[in-house]
Amino acid sequence: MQFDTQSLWLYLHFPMLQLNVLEQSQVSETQDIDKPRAIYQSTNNQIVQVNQAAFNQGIRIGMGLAKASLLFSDLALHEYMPEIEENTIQQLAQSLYLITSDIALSPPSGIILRAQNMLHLYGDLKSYWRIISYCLGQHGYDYQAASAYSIQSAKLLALQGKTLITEERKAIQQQLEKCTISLSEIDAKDVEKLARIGVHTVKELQKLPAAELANRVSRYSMNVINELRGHSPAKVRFFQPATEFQDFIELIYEIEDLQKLLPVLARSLSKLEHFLYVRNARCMSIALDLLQREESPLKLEFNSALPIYRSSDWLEIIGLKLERTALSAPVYGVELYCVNYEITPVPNDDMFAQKSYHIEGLSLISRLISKLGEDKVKSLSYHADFRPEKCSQLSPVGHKRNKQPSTAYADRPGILLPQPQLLTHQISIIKGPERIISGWWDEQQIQRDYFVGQDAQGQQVWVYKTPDNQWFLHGYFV
Amino acid sequence: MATLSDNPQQLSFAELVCQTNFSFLQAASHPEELVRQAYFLGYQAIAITDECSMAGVVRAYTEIRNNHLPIKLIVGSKFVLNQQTMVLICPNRQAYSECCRIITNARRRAEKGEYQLSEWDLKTIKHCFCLWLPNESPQNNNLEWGESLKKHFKERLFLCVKRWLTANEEDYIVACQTLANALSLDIVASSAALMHDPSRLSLLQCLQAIHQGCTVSELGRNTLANAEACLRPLNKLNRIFPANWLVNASLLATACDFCLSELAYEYPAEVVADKMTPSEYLRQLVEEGIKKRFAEGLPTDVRATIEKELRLIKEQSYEHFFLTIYDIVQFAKAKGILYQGRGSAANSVVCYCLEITAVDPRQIDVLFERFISKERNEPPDIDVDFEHERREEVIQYIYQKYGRQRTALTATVVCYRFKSALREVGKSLGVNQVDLDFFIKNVNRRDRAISWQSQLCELGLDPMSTQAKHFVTLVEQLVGFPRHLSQHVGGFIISAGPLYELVPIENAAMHERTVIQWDKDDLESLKLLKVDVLALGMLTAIRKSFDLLRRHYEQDCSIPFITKLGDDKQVYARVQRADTVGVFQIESRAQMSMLPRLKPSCYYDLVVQIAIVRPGPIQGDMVHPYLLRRDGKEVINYPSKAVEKVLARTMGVPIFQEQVIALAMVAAGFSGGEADQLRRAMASWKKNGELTKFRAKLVTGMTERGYSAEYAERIFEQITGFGEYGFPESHSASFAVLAYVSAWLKHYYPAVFYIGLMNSLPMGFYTPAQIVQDAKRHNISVLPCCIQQSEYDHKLVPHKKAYGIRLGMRLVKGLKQSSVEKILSYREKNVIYSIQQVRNLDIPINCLQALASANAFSSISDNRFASRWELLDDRGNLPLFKQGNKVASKPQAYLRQPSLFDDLIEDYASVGLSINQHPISLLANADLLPRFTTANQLHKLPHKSLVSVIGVVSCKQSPGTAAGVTFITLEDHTGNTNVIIWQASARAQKAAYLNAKILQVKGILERGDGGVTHVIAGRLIDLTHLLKTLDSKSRDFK
Repeated sequence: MQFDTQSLWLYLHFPMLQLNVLEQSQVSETQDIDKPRAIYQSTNNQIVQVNQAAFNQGIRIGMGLAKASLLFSDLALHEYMPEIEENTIQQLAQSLYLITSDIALSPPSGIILRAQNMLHLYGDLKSYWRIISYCLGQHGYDYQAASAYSIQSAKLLALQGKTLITEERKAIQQQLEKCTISLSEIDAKDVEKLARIGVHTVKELQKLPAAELANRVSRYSMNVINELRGHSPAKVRFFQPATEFQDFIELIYEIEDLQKLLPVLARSLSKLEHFLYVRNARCMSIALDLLQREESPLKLEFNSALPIYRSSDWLEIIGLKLERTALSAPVYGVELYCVNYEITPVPNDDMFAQKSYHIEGLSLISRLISKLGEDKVKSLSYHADFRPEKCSQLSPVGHKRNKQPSTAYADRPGILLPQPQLLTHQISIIKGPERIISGWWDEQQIQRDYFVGQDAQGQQVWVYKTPDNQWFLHGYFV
Repeated sequence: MATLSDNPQQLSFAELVCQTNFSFLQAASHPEELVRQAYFLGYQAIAITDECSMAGVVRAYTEIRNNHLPIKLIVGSKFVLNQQTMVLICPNRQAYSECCRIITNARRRAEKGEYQLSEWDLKTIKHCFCLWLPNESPQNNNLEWGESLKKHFKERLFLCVKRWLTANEEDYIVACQTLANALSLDIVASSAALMHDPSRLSLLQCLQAIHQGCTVSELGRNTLANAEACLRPLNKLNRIFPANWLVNASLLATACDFCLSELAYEYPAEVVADKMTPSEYLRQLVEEGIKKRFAEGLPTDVRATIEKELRLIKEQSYEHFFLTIYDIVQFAKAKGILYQGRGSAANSVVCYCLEITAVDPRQIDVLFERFISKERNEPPDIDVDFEHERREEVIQYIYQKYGRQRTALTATVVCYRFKSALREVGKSLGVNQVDLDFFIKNVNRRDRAISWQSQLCELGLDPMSTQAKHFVTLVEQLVGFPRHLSQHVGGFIISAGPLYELVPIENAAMHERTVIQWDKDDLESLKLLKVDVLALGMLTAIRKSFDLLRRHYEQDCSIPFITKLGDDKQVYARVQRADTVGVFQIESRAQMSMLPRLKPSCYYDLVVQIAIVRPGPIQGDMVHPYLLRRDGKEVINYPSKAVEKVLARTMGVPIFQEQVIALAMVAAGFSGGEADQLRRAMASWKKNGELTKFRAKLVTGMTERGYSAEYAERIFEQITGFGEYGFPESHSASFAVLAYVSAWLKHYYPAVFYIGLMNSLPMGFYTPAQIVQDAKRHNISVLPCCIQQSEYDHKLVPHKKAYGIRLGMRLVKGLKQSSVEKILSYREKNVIYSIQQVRNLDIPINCLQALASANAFSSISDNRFASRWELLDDRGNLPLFKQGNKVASKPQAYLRQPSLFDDLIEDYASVGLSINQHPISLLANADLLPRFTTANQLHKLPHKSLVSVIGVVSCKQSPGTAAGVTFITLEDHTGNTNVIIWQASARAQKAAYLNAKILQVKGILERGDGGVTHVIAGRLIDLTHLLKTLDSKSRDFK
């Protein structure tokens, strides 16, 4: 915690952060970045960010979904995800950390810098700001920035969209007075109360006698008001660089060809490179989650025999593996992790070491997975479905298993043929029919009458008849 | 198991266990479909046995009766108790009463929609047959349960085996046979049907998924393995069941004799005076009424009508019905609650004499015979509207007089509509929630040119995908399915004995209310009479106006008093000018634009006026022909004598619902029964779309009889329009009385009228702001809300040698009536001179703040900001300050003065209206507006002139009857301007069209028949931002 009433603070507000992140992750140059696009918060049915093209169509922040889609039916909508923004300001803070020391985060989309103690280093505010704005420019996100002698003031100025970088108290005060208090951190209830007595701006607020005001608003609001007046210190917790690397990119267009993903990954990998570089670190393994529409995420892991950090090296490794990887559904987002960036020791076990079978089994499975790929190693599980073919399914190792109900065993043969075979020999019916009509919803509908029969050798068989009177052999009772 | 040979021997079978879609989300066919299918398959009988419900039986009964199907209907119900399923079926009337009673008990014990049966309930059964379907799970208590059932039901217990061709079924059947042997029970075969046809399997599984809150694919094995739970052909049943099981079912059906037609309604006896027959008593009351209503002597033709009506009532035994309603309205009359009867029988002379209605039969040539039609055999219909604020008193009277056991509300069956069906089916098929929201928000059901199916494709549904096909089919099937029972707005059924012996009763969502399991159509089918006790806001407004007249003008007014004065030219002149804000029924914008064209000048014109601006006549394109004929611009002719009889009253143009139905009979050859079905289909058209099946019959019927196909199509369009909002003449006739009375009040006592209206809100079409604007335009002074002067209600006060309106505190948003009462009782003995005094009254702070914002403290405080500032100080609540009336140390004065704009904003925020300011006049005075014409100047401009108007968007409508057109009302400080925006203009200027609160419209002025003025919009300019400019500008000036 820091207490300070004399320092100059800079507040950086990123009003369209998620939209910016989204548009930067655009897959190909040919696709239209000028498409009207908006970020939508479904919890309160409000548009929260719009790009210029959407603005030109009349889409405004605060609108509901129905109105927005009436105004422009082709509007590209993306759900608001504060975690994307929080993640991004973390990364921004990482890069700013190289050039300025005291950074605090103001989630989801603000960063606070204490400029005061950097002024000696950079000479003056102007030079300091030049460096900061250069750094921000490299990221390419829209921002609004303001300086003031309290965090609340700097924040309010920045939120009002006035990019004001100055040390002059008078100029700051002048601009501050014009700000409306509805954007400040004053309790919404108190803002409403004040509005109902005609107080909308900081100037009007500051005219009110403080002692009288203190009897009329909450303690929290009073603290904010005092900070805005420059009477009370700021309390912030300063940023510490992260220990793990994590980067999420939401794609504008879903992609199916993994090679097209490489340019997007390159951007993420260069962030990783930067992350490792400033830590003088290298890593041997990174993980990539490919988020697929209506499928569980495809999790990939990439290993390098040697510890490396360059993005180009990693890109090569990834490129090779992706060539062999097939997608089951289009990808709409990717997430890159690097958890262990110290050099990991190579495991040194030998075959004869004493281990429990369980551990052995697990380690066999994990070896098989790393040798053959996750999709090649499966275990059997029960699936509640009337269709016999669907009852036993192969599923990835480690998946939660369904418990099989006792009734599911009944009248089912021990051996089920992988494919039903046309019944070619005479059998006598012992039991039946059991009629199964199921599966209309997933286009694998069956309509069969099953019977338990016995062939000439006395073998009990499971056969079925289709509506067009064809008979098939589907299993043997043992 | 024994199997029978395949030879098709003649076999009879009765399905005794069958659930309809009234076992909500459990079964997938309508009762009608089931009985029709059972008949088609040659079943001897079918039982409708919904789970703890009788809600579907009447529909099945009606289907059989209307189509003369030779199949027996058995009534019963299914129950689940201790994981055991029992189906009770009713062999006779006593059994039926028993069954209704235990359904009622089980339902009343549980929350709405649930039931809780007890073993005791089963033990009270003395007449019902019990079909027991033993538990199928291997761990069961079958033997034990069977023994206890047997002990109680003895020979009336049967073991019911369903065969659904599932795995391990043989074992279950063997177990059942063992049980039957052990308990010496006969086995009855059944399909335990949940569908009428196997093709409903996907819908059934979809319903089960909705029920379990998952998708169909997630149902896994918690659903049916196949489609055997349906009504199956006899030869198939023959193959899968032993013959004696089928015979048993058939024998059991034969033993059931009960038919729903036996349910004779027993009227409450107490409505008839002692030692008199109902008929004698009714005549006595009518004779007494004649003396009151026809004091000047009864004309002979009216006497003849009365005799005829009484004879008809006697023939149909409807005396009790009239007497019951008479009793209820007498209560209302005694309590001074204003009421008005309407409906097919309400406009009879008998009802006029019984004071059920104020429609003087001499004013309107309606034949009572048409209303109680012997030929159509439909029950008389009388709805009684009461003051909406006092209807509860009437309801409580009914409960008190007849007891809760003998009276309950009618149910309304809430059905799946398009949107709910789309959402639920979508969820069950796993369609993404966001996509569903998008579909629902963007499908325009009013667009009749493009079906919703095609619209969904436009919105991105791939029409070729199997998923999409399932989606569309299932939505089509689900629309019209009942969803749950809800309570009817006011339909009561009252009986002589306990009602639960007639029909099961269950809890309604509202506390202390109970509903029966049948809706009004069901009651009608069984010829049971219900009494409609409805609420009407205008009656409250009129009664409050009458009270004011009595207090301030010493004039004793009543509805009959005003109607007896005859048609008043001045009142009609005002109506013709469309000066009808607040006037009952003719106050909407559509009505107001029709008034100058139709120029109503007598009572019957009003009846037509009220009925003509409705979807029916508009969709049938009957409005223009009527206007032309009225103006003598079109020849009135009739295709036949029969049609002339039906349409003569309305110049050959069908306007009323009754006329259209009569037309179907005389012009398309509908039988009485068919016409009755048509009428019902109209009433439930939105629910289930059954109306379309009448189209072919109507059009062929009419063309065969020489009418043009085009005319027939128009009649059908009109019928569907009535379906959206049916409007019969019998209702219009009663409404016209209230319309006239309110117009009369507005003309002669406008201040009184506005107060009556505003004290009865919420009701009607207009907000207090619009009513106050209208009052000011009629030069009535409106005085603001004041802590020293105002009461809770608005009141009439002498002001500048006339009466003005003092706004009441009820207008202040967020102010509780109890707080106002505290202020008023304090004011009786004290004079309020400080805010602190009011503060000491223990009134919640937000109520005080609301009063301050409304500027109610203006007489004791500098301004509203200062009042609020003072109230914000929480020290004012400390005991020290409460002791004295004054704050110990006067706080620093609040300096910020509200600007005109602040006042306007605060006025709207606190009371929803501003007496002194209008946003448009403020903007105009601040020179912020471009040149424009105010509403009161428009009449000076010639037809087709270019015009620019500016106003606050006070109303925006895109009615379904006007394809793509939007009507916008722009309000300025001088009045309202009607703007018409064509679809193309709206689309091209979406942003302004959708967002503007203050709108400038540049367009062309159009003046139509009767001087109706509209502006056809060209350019739309959003000027809302000017308010902000005004805000800062007014601040700069202060």
